[in-house]
Formats: sequence, structure tokens, C-alpha cells
Amino acid sequence: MINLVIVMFLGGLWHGAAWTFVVWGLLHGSYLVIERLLERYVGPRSWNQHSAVQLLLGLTTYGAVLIAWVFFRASDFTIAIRMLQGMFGGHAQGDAILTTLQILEIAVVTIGLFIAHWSLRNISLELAVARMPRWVVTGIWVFMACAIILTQGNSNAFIYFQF
Amino acid sequence: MHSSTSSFERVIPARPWRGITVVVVMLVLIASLAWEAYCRWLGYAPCLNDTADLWAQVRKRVQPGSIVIVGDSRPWFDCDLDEFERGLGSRPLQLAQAGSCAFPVFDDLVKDETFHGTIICSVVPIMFFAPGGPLLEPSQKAVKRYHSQTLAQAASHLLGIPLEEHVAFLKQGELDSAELLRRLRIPDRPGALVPPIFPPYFGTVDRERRARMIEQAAHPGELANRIAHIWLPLFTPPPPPTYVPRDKFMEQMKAGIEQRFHDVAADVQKFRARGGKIVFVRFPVNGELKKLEDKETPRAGMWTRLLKETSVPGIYFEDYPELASFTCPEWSHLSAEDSVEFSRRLIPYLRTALGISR
Repeated sequence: MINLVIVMFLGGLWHGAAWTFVVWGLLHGSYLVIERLLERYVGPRSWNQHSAVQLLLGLTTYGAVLIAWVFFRASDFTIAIRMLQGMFGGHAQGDAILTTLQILEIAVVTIGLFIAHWSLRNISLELAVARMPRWVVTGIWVFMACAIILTQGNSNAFIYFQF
Repeated sequence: MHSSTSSFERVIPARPWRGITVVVVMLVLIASLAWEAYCRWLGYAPCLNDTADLWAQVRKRVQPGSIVIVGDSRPWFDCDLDEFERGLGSRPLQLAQAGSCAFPVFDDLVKDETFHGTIICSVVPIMFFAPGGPLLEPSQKAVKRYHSQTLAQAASHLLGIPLEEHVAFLKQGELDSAELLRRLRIPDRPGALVPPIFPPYFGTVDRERRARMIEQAAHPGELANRIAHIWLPLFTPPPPPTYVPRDKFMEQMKAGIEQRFHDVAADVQKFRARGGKIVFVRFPVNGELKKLEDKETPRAGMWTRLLKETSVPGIYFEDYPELASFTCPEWSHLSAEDSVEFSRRLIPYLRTALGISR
């Protein structure tokens, strides 16, 4: 488990020489340690295999990862803390900085990601693709290719192109 | 394979992949061609996107004695490089940045100790003296890209050039999915900080970053009129943010403007000390936009003071009938045709201001 934390710490540092990246890495390391400890000392029980508990665990993981991302994106801890305060209702009277379109985009992507993860919990992507009708596979592929063309991303879009 | 890694190998599902691939390629090709035809029918032409990488590419060509044009979108549209080359004896490099304050670029050139050439600097006071915020960002981003461009970014840019020169729908910020979604005009919450609306496509850009107004915008009509009225909110100073008291905000703005006067004067002195030449130019602006600029940034308070405190020669289009006779179809830029004639007429004044003899 110490190795796990060290690897995630170095993974954070690899993304940039800033303490925010270190915190991001350490948070991920600590999440993985908690997961291993839960697996070891609690393990699969009938109560935690219930769909509602699984959903709750999934949402908890999602929330924890979102908190870690704040440190990845924020340029310093002042901004990170301000963002975290906002995420937990600290800026109730703050400016409405997101447009309705941005809120909808985030909601659609989040719900889509959640459905994708949920539906692939007990099945591999390969098996899911093997079971899909041919026209669905073709349609998804065409949609993704057209979306890439329309997005017109440039080299700025991909963080690893900055190395 | 029975090695310890075999469990990580992903098995490709048994599907008729060859047939699916052919159908996908055909459908994507048909969709792309249809989208391209539709965009051209709307009036879009293939041209380069004015990215930070394109700017960096031109910036890399600056030689110690180069003539460079810096500023906002006005010299970008209004300066014809062929005419400038004929009149000034050397082809200028176009480093003006649309919708941005020239100072970060100006300052970067001055800090480049190897450069002792000529700077033709456009001054739109509301942009040039912007103390911070969005008006500085495009220039800052371009300068940063020039200094820190990675091989991957440079390669991506070079690979994109031939594509952008032949495909009309490759217009970042205009025909990408983010902008297309924005055009859905979904109502926002009351008080939402909605980003400003920028003008639609109305100019092309080539490899030298020479911008030319498209024909549809060059004549009075719906497009020119729509663009003209987009300038007014863009050139109106935004209200202070809610978390800063108005008085304090105004004090900060004033201090920022004073600092800019000081920084420009210091840069000018430094640049001239090593033999560099500078001229400030106020390019044509008309209509309601001219009235707004005169109201927000009076000539005496900005332009006159700038020339006085820097002792740099200035050319204000209004002072010369042959420069003042041009009409900007959308109040802010000259048509491609007029930009050639304007450049021709501007040359003698530039030569005088820069002390260039025949």
C-alpha cells in the first residue's frame, strides 16, 4: 500500500512541478488505499452487493475523484479552496458564472458517463460490443468520428501534447 | 500465450469489422462532404485559423532588423503587406492580434535584446490600456506559445495548415461543436455572466497572418450591420465584478492604466536606446463605434498623452484627409480592396515618422 501511495505521488508530480499535482496524486493514492482496506477487512457481503449500496459507493467514488480533480486543475491552493467552498455551497450569493448551456452540457456528459460505467460494471466492453446489433456499432462509430471532426480540437486540447 | 500478461490482452469481439469499417468511412465521408458544401453555401471559404501557433510561426521569422506590425485587429485587416514592402523596403511581419491589447507583444519584442528593428504599433486606447483581463489574454497566450511551443504543438500546427487551406468547415470558434451548440440560444438565468458575443466570420487569414475582409461584409448589408452592432457591447467597459466595490474597482483600473503609461514609456526608452524605431498609428474607425471610443477614451487623455510621454511619432487617421476618407463597412475595419489603397496612402507618413529615406 505504501508503494501504491508512492506511485500515485510520483504520478501527480509527473504532471507538473506544483504542490497541487502532489495533492492530486496523494488523494488518489489514499483513495486506492481505502479501497484495498475495505476489500481486505469488509469484503463482499450480502448487504454491500445490493444495488442501492453499489450506487452509493459509485457516487462516493465519483465525488471523491471530483474533489481530487480540483487540485489538478487549480493553479494554486487559494483557488482550489475557493472552488471546493463553491462545490459545498460556500458561495450561495456568488456570481452565476455558468451559462445554462454549460450546465446542460456537463449534466449530459455526467449522466452519459455514469450510465456507461454502470452498464459496464459486470460486463466487459468487448462483450458489450459483441452483443450489440451491427447497426448500433456502426452508428456509434459514425457518431464518434463526426463528433471528433466537428470538435476541431487542436494541440492545446490534449494535456500530454504539452510535454 | 500463457505468460502472466496474457490475462491483460483484450480480445477483439467477433464482428464483421471490415464491412463495418467500409460503411463507417463512407458515411463519415458523405457527412463531411455535405457539411463542407453547406458551409461553403453559407459563405465560408477555406482559410487558416488565426491560432497562437500561427502567430508563433510568424514571430519566429522576426530578424534583428525586421519591421513588425503589432496591435489589434485594425492593422491586421488594414495593412497590405505587399504595399508596405514596396513602400518601406522590407516586408513587415504581421503580429497584430485580433481583439487584444498590443502591450504583451510590444513588451516581448522590447525584451528580445537581439531585436532592434521597427515596430508599427496600432493603438485602440480601450484595448491598448486595458490593465488586465480578457483583452490581454490572446496576446499573452500567443507570446507564451512562441516561447514554449512544444514539438507536438508545432507539428500539429504544420499538419493542420494544408487541411485548413482546403476545408472551409475547419473554423475554430465559428463552426466547431462548442460554437454550434452556443447558437441554440438557450435562455440563461437572470444575472448570469454570459460571455460576450463575438462577430461571425468576416475575414480570411493567410500564412503571413494577413487578414482580408470577405466580400459579403465589405458592402453595406445585413452582415456588415450585424457585425457593427456587435462592436458596441464589446467596446463598452464591463461593470465591476460583484465581489469588488465599485470605487475600489475604478481605483484599480486607474492605477492599471497609469502603470501601462509608465511601462510603455520605459519600454520605448529601452528599445530606442539600442536603435529600435517605433511609430504609433490610429487606424480608421467610423460610425457609432468612433463616437463610443471618443467618449470612453478621449483623444487628449490617451493618444495625445501617449505621444507626449513617450516622444514617439504618431499617425492619427483623422488628421490627414487622404486617410480619413475611408469608410469601414462595419465601423472598425477596412475592406480588402480599401486596405490596399489605405496602405499605399499611409506609407509616406510612416516613412516620415520612421525617418526612412527613399
